[in-house]
Amino acid sequence: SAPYLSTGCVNIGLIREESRRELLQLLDKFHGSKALVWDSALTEQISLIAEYSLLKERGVDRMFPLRGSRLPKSSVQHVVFVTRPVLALMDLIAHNIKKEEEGDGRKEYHIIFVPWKSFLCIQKLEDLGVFGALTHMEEYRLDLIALDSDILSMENPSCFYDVNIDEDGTSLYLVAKAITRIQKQYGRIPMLYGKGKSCKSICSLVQKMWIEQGDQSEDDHSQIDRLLIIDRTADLITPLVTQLTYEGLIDEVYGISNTGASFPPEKFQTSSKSDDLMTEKKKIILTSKDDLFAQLRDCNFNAVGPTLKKEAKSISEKYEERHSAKTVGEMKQFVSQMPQMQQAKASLAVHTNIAELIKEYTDEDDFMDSLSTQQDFLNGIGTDKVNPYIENCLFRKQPLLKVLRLLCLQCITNNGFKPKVLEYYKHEFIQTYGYKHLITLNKLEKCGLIRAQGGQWNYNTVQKSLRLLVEDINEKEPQDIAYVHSGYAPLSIRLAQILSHPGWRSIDEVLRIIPGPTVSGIQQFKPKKKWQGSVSSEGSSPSVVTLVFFVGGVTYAEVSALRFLSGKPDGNEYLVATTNFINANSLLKPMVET
Amino acid sequence: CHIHNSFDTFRSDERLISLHSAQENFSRGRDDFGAKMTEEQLYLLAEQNKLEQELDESFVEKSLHDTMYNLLKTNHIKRAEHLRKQFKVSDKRWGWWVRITALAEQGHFTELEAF
Repeated sequence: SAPYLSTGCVNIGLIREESRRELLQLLDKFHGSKALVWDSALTEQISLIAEYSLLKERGVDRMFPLRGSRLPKSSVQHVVFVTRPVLALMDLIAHNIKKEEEGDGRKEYHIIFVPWKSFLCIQKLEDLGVFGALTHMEEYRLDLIALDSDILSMENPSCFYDVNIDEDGTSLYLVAKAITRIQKQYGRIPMLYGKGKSCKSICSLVQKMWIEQGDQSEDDHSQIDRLLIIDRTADLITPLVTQLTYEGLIDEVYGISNTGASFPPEKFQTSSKSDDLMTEKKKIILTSKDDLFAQLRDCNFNAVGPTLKKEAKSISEKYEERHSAKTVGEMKQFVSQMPQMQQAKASLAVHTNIAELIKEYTDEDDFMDSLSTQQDFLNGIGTDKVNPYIENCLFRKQPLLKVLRLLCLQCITNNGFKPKVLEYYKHEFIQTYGYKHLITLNKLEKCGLIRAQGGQWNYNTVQKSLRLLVEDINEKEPQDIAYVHSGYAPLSIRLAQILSHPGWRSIDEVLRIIPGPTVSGIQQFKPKKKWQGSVSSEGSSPSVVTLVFFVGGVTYAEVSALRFLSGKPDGNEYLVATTNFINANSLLKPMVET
Repeated sequence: CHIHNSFDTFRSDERLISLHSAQENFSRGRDDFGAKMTEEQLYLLAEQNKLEQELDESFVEKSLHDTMYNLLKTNHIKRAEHLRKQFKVSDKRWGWWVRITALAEQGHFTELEAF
């Protein structure tokens, strides 16, 4: 199980337990031995909910990835395909079933759709002539995955693109479903707030779903006091600015997915088996289960070195204690601590290696140049002209995503480009990367990442009133959330902070400048009575819990900033829910024509 | 101007037809920039086809930058100059490319790769 999920202000572990229960109930429908055939995009997600050993207990004998080739031989009674509702995958499933039926036709076939059963997919299976061969078609509503004690994610990477480019609102419906599920678990949230394009429609969907569900009694006391929905389009600056926290940088450089990241193996070579070179990437799980990572993840990268040193010192001091152990009892106690100490040592080695890798990356000239260009833009320096560094990157054909990131940031900090500058950039972009990127540029314009001047948005006003730029940041002992970007405070998190104190009424004017509608209202007038689902802090007055739901993605730096706010002694705690995690690359990449 | 899909064809004659129709659509949709870019692309394709016949090297899938880069690297400076004029390449951009030529002439290929 995963006890680390239950240590937050609200017991997130309950969500995982419920998902687990539902999955097992589904599997129990098929009596006897089973083979699961996985859509590879789902394996990691589901392993966060149920381990293989648990599935084995429920009669899962074999697991295969879903491929176009024939299934390996097995003598199971049931073949269960676990898949997203994606049409292309239906072809693979049909092919698999047909091939399998040619062999012995004794098996039963089933499909579990995650997270919803699509009519189109079923239609497609009919067209492919395998509909009749299927006994059960189930739906596994995996709408939220608990990634850590304070994070719930829908792990839906295409949300931003679907909503803003394809204008497909399915993700928004799923967000409302997810919020409804949270309310079912923890009680109806009394106060609703939101900023950005989709927040209004999500709020009204949530309210409708609550009514349709009917049987809930209104006096259910909520463990969550406020819901704040932030649509990514309300703050497109933050994901474009390089994250400078430990976890954020790991994501920028190596990409984290389903709590894991893969690193180059050379660094992690153990000397004992140096003859057989590891060629596979080293996969490391990054959650607060690892005590050291829990300390490091939210630190500014400049504070990571000192923390690692401190940890190394404390471990070696503990080892030294063995010399002072005289009595048998003391020796026994020392020995009993050995496993923990060894684990701590291993974790220290892992994070020292990762920190070295990140350091190499951040020391490169290109990284420093890009960072200082970003700082210039955030400070409003030279944003109205063609930027020489961007130009230089275009002429040298630097990585396309790096150039786009800077272009978009310049555009947003300048409130759109002058027509001449915009045309120049677009023209040079196409000359460098090719004509097909006319489509890329069109998509960026469609979602507002690149545009001409005009509209109510005014970066300078927003930046000043929300104090987005903070000077003299102490990266080792931060006083403000701006430490996560070494001087820039994420707009989204400032909104959350101000909502808690002194309230949004103080920033009415600014809220009007930020794109998209504002929601601010009461869902239910009920005094909140608190019972903690997890470890309660006795004696202290109950804190106000805000759930911040990011629609279109959240960055690791934003989560760190919220944790920083939770850590302040002013009685505010934050939980994060999100459609997915993003950074500049994962935000922009889907829009790049290939 | 919804006909962006028409860029995706790979056979050269089909590509020409779809580019022409894209250009028409851009003009009809009053997207001057799109129309201008499509015109440039049509012109670039014609030049690239010519180059392929003359130099026995593939050019068609390449951007203007990559085309120029290849020409300069292989010392076809006159041909590059020709494209520069035709596409009104800015002096700044040309400046970077001249450095490539200089590097190529001196045989500094490792530096070239790092460029």
